[in-house]
Amino acid sequence: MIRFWLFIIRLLKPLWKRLGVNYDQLKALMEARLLMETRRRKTWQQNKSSNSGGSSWLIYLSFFFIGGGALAAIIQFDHVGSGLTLYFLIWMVFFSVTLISDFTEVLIDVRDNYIVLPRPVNDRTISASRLMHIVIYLAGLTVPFMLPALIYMAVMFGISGVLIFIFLQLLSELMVVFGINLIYLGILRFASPARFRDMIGYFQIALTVMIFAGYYLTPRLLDWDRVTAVNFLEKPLSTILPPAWLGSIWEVLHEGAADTVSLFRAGLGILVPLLGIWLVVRFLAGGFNRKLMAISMGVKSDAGPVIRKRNQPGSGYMDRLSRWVCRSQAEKAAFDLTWLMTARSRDFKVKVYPSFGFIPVFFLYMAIQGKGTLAERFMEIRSGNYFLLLLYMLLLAVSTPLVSIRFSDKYKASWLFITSPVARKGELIAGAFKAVMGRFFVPFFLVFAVITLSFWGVKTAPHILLAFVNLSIISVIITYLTPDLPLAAPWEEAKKGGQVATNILTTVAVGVIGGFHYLLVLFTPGWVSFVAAVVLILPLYFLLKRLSALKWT
Amino acid sequence: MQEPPPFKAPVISLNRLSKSYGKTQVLFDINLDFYPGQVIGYIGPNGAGKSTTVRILAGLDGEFSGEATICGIDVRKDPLGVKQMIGYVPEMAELYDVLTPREFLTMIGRLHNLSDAVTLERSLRMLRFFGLETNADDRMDTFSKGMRQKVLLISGLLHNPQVLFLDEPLSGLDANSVIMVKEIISRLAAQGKTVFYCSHMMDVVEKVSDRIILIDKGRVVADGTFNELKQQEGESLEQVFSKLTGKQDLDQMAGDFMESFRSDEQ
Repeated sequence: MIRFWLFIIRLLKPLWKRLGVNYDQLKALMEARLLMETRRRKTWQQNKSSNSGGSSWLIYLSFFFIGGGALAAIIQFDHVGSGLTLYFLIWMVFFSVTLISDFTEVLIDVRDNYIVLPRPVNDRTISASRLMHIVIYLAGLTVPFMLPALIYMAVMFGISGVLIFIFLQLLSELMVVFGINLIYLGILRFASPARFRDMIGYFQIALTVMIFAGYYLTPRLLDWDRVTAVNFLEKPLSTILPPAWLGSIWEVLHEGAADTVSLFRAGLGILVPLLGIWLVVRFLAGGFNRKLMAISMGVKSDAGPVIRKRNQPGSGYMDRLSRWVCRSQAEKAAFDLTWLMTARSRDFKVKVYPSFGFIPVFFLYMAIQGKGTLAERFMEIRSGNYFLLLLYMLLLAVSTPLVSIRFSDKYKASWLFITSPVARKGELIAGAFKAVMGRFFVPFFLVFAVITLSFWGVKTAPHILLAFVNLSIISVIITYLTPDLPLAAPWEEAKKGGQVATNILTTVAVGVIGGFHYLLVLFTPGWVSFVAAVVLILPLYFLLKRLSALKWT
Repeated sequence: MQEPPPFKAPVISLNRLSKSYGKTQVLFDINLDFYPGQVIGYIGPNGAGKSTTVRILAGLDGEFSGEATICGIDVRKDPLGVKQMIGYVPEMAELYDVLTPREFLTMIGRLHNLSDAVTLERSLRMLRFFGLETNADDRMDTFSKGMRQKVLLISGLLHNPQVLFLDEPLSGLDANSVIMVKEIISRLAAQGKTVFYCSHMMDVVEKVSDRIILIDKGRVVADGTFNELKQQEGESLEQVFSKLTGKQDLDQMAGDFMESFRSDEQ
């Protein structure tokens, strides 16, 4: 792959010369960049649980599959223009979310500032290498996604179909790039660079969940017969959707549509991207790059202190909670640290939050699977005992932060646990455990409990209580079996697969205990579960004591 | 050799201390006693065994032969007791920089079992001393290297330790802060605290230390006040250092290095 791109760059040698770009330096830069890219991919590949880096092979593969799913839209719809509209809608959403989460890293490699800028390399060469990098990056996303559809278009519509399709694809990319420029500028106008980075993190989380949802839900949603007979392009409202402009271009160029609405939309579809890119290059790029630079340089935010001034210790939610649930000062220290780090570390959020997004998707998948209309499915879910599934599935999500809390990109800072006179390792572990539970388990469980109560009725209350105690017990046991200091290991170690055992254990525990619980639901009145919950609080209490009594080894 | 001050027990005592990593021995039979109120300059080339000694004394590494005690506490038998007595500021140490200094120092205080009120009072006072009070609620990821180093120094002093281990404590600090830290070091010593100062900056070690220990390849090669060392070996501590740690053929080596450019001259 590197050779291929270097070959392309060599082909453009006359162009570079004319632009004032130093070809040898460009080649050296690109070779290093592409090499780094392949190395990065390889590491991502080993670590499937953390596919946050958009340019990983995993993402390419996902894009290929989702592209295949999106192709289904073109095939299914009776009307090709509508199919294309839906196809480009899917494509543009995925493409933009991926770009948003990745752009800063591809656009601005901070290392450029230290390594390349002090060298005698001219600005044009640097710009050219950046541009080439972006082009290669975009191609890497586009090609796998459009490949299935491209083949289909070739078979069905021949060479003209392919050409128009590629043209549409290009337009869609220009639109997305323009749109993202606007979004970035918008965010940057209202948020400090530090905040901006956090927001990018949320886009990464959204991307991961969307890809997951894409796998599971798109195929199911696409075999609705009634939808596919609709012609989107006949609805006037679709004019506000850029993908509909692209669909209209197809209508005009391939089907020969000549009505005013189609022509108007097709005109928009061609003019907006071109105008947008002109705007980006002419006006937006300068300020934009300056600001991006500020972000990657970690410029101090002018937004003032990150948190409110607190002059008294022990005010605020976290402090009250930690004083309530922690026994010693050391435990409190670990609690607060974990609480604050999980709230602020982008790395942690990106790796942990998606697993919570998977639950609703997965539940929805289970729920809409099976025969019957949506209304029938709805009734069936409601009369059944699906709420147990919902509640117990939460543990599969909670086990991610429980296991991940031992990792941090700042793992080296854990020297201070070792140099401090903390009597028992367990105090730190218990503090971190309580913070994770307080932050990730309890709030989500409360939400699920409210959903369960309102959807399945008050009769589920004792079961909710029992599920709470059961899940807490399993969580303590998971932590107890892998007693590592919080935030003290590098993320790379997560790849070494120590979690496989934990994952299996979690799944088995959820299955077995959830199974028993299910039997209780089926065969006993509600008060039995209530009594069970109350009785089980005792072992939970003792397990927690055991956890905080763990010694240094 | 330095005479021990009368009526005082040594606060740090190393007795026949040896240490190996696998088959490579890094410390050979070290015997040293340090007394309250001393500032000890602990110097030596890279890989001489400085950090290893400090790690052992801080109760972080119990795998050694011989004896090491701090305030009479055996570091092997009661590392926690030792950790309670000492403050340790590692070189270029990482800290959780998404926290604010206030949050970070609160955590440190709790790890030392200080009450939150005491921690807060002390840390605000110390932050003010270093001119960081307006940054007390800013995340440290926006901090410069010097600001981080100041927070680290505070974290080592917060619990009022009897013995302070400092590893390149001045790195990244501006001139004013250097003066302030030096002043604090001598005040701590005047209070009877012992400061164990590891550094490569000879000029600073020369000025702050009451006693200088030079180790090379795991052995103590010089021990005394700066004046004593000067009489034996040469004018400045730098000269003493290079004389004792044996880069005699520096001239030859520099010449070799410059040879690399010969292809340019032709």
